Amino acid sequence: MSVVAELRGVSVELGDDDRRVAALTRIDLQVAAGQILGVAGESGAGKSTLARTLLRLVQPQAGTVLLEGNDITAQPERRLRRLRGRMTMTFRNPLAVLNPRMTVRALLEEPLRLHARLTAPARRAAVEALAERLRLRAGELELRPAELDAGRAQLVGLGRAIATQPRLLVLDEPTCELDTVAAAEFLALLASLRDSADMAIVLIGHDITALQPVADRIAVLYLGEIVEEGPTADLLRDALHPYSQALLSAHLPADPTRRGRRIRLRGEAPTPDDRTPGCGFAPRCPIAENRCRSGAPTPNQIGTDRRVACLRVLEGSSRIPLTR
Amino acid sequence: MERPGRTILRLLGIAAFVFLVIAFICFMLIKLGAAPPVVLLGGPNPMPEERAQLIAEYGLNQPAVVQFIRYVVRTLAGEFGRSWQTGATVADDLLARLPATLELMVYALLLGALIGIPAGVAAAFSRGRAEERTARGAGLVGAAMPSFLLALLLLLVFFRWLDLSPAPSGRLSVVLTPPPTITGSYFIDAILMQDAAAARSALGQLILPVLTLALLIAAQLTLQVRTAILMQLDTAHFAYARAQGMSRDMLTGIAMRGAAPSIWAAFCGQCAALLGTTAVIEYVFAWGGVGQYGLEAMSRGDFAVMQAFILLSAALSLLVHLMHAGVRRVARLRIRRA
Repeated sequence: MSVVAELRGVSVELGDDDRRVAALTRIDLQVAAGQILGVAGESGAGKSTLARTLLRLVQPQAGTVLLEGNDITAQPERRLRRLRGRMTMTFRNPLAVLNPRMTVRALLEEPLRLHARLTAPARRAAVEALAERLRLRAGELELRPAELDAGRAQLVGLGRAIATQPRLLVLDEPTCELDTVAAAEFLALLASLRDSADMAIVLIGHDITALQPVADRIAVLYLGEIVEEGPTADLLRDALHPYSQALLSAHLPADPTRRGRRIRLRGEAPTPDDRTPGCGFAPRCPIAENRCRSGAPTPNQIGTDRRVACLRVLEGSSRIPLTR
Repeated sequence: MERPGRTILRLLGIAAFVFLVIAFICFMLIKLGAAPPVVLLGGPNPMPEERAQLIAEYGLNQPAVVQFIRYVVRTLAGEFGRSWQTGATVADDLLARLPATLELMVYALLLGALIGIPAGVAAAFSRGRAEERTARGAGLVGAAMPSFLLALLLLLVFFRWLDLSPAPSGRLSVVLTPPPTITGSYFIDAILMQDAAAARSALGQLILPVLTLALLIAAQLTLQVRTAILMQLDTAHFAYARAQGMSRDMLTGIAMRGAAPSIWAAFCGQCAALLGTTAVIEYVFAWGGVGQYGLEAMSRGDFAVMQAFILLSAALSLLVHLMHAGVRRVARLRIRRA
């Protein structure tokens, strides 16, 4: 498997001169071709910043961003522009970003105009083929965004993102505005794309269970840091970081015989403003110890391909005891 | 669906109301003046027959309400009374001086927009870099600069030290005769009459006052346009366009289209505020326009002229407001139709 996109020790600060906040801190991440990497985390965890950093829409303050092995951290905008057909993204609210004056056909054609040197007939054929891949309905190509619902609009957004056959596709909470049926359809389409198009896909969502059906690996983001990362099955069966455990237990299983054993987190959802030294999760962690509040944990390799940033994980004591 | 006819009527209604309020203020200027109305309107020592004429003209021996109604009717008919300084009717004085002022204002607005808007866009696009700080700093200095001070500084440098510009002595060198009035702009009229010497002199006289006004306009526009474009750069659809790999020109177009209402409002704001600044600049450069006429009337207590000047400023503001609102409506209707 070839690594398509990679972040190495990436830190991003956002805001202007008077007020800067650390949105991402020392992120290491890889995603390979033919793989879907799910990224989960609460609002404000840095998910969207991570998406934009992967595409170098945001310039990191430290670290390296790589696309297909090439360092694109310091590339000027002019050079990046030519790469933008190879790394694409969809946005959370598709209706807010699609040009309301263009038809679906024109919207799907635009990325080809920008990045592919095609003759007009070849471009038209490419749009038709794309519509077929997206399973658009008859006549839908002639509609404008205002006539689409969120699900169909997100589909058009996906179509624009894959029109140029990118190597890296980043989806920022693509299903958050969609109803359940549309979301399931969308994820199924995504899984088929992974298998047919050999791209690296980063799927961002605030909900682990929404990522679970399609993601090969999942990274859990908390306050701009990756607290746990590993294969989806391992992470769901046996989450090691206390925060991942809490995130998973927030979902009631669809099984009435299993009694809800929920971990309730106390305290406010964090903002990057009031970071304390030590582990970012310590103020809300049920099993935090004094050392957690002073020293920040570094990611520990667990087994062959999992990593967890928790001081207690090496002693095997990072699981939150389920009382009651 | 909104009907454009009704919108226009509503705007005109507002304009009529504002006119009445301004007319009332102008009227009270005379009633509350520190001297009898006859002195305010007729000068320090009016002759007995002048007195009688003023009393008859303004109905000064009638009740205040009647006086006010007469004032409004006279104003609407374009009668602003007589200036005791020049001896001519205020209407004639204003008409004679208006071209000079308009010439200054139009050139200054064009040049100011030509400098300010691109500078604001460039500043926004170079966010966080030295270019932005420079543009922002220059904008702040310019926006805080008193107009007369900038005019004097430019005169000091370009007239006194470098000797590149002519003396601030009006619209044309004193040894030349003005071209016959066609457009009212000496420069354009001289070109139309193929009078090279007059054209060169008119242009030379124009440069410094126009530059002063344009720099003041450009400074504020830079700041306002920068803010408007910055807001566009933070929208999701702009980030999307950037992620698509659009060229710098396409991105500028997208941001400009989104910011167009704000930029248009900023430009109209500059138009509305311009007469006041122009008056000061006219004074410094002895331009002999409406603004200088109004300022001199204020310093000498020529009340008929003051009244007319206040009304003129208000009319200009209203006109700009109508222009702003009108263009916005048309743009909105076009967007809805698309």
